[in-house]
Amino acid sequence: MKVKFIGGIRYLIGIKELEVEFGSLDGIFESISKKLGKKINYTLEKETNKSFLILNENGKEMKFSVVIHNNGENILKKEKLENGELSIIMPVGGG
Amino acid sequence: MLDISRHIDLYKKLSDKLNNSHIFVAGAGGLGSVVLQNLVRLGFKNIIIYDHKEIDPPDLNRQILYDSKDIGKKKTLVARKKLLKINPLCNIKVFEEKITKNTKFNGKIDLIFDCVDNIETRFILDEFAHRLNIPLIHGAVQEYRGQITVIYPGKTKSLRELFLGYSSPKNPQVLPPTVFITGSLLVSEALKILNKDFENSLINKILFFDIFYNDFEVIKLK
Repeated sequence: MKVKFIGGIRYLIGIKELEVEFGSLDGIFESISKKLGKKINYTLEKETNKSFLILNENGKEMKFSVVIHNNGENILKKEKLENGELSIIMPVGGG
Repeated sequence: MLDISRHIDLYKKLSDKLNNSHIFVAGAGGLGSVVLQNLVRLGFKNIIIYDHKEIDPPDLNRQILYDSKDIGKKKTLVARKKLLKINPLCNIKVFEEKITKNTKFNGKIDLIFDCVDNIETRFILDEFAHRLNIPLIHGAVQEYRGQITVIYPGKTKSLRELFLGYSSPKNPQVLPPTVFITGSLLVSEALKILNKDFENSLINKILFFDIFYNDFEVIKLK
């Protein structure tokens, strides 16, 4: 499946998109980590329903709030992932 | 009286909208300052402003309605005073209130600008737009980056559907040009929506940009 990085996240990891084998979300992030050569995980904080990307680079852990769309739909609104496109979006929040 | 002869030919069909539309601007901070100045200079007559904050020194880097003499004063009151200097014939209603789930928005409203600084209030505006069946022009900024989209009940996903899961940062760094660009684009989108030019608008699209890298990208939503 195609994985797109949208917003500031693309500059942090240095790539706009890549292709990985379709699978579970954990499996997809494992594949992304392998392709990028850096550990990237996704976590959903169940108490707040907030989603984050955890990026480990050179022993340093960074956490960013993200939203993930699968074929145009927020994954928090979907029952299961579908093959196609996964957009990892780092929105901005100031006004 | 404001003379709009230098731009009215660009949006002739909007003449009556300028006089009759009631525009709701939520937030009179960075984005709100730019949006409000644009609206008044374009010739919009009826504007409603919600903001509960006073002007603080760190606001002056990007909140272009205010200056050093305004520190400590209510944003809504200063904003109205300055906007009326541009066009004294504007009808500007101000509300010094924090927008919450319990806020009652009364009166005629045709379009909402989301110029607030947190996702929770944005979702309240989203619900409000859906309840009234009116468009919400969403913008947000941080550092060198901005995002803009149009939420149109019945035509697009809701803001909640798009950004559910997002946690907005408190007091992020913001470069002033990022705010000026985003605020101006918000107003440009509103003109298209009022003109019913949906094809060229950011309906079912989000514009993300980063001025550090000169990266502007429109993402299509399904």
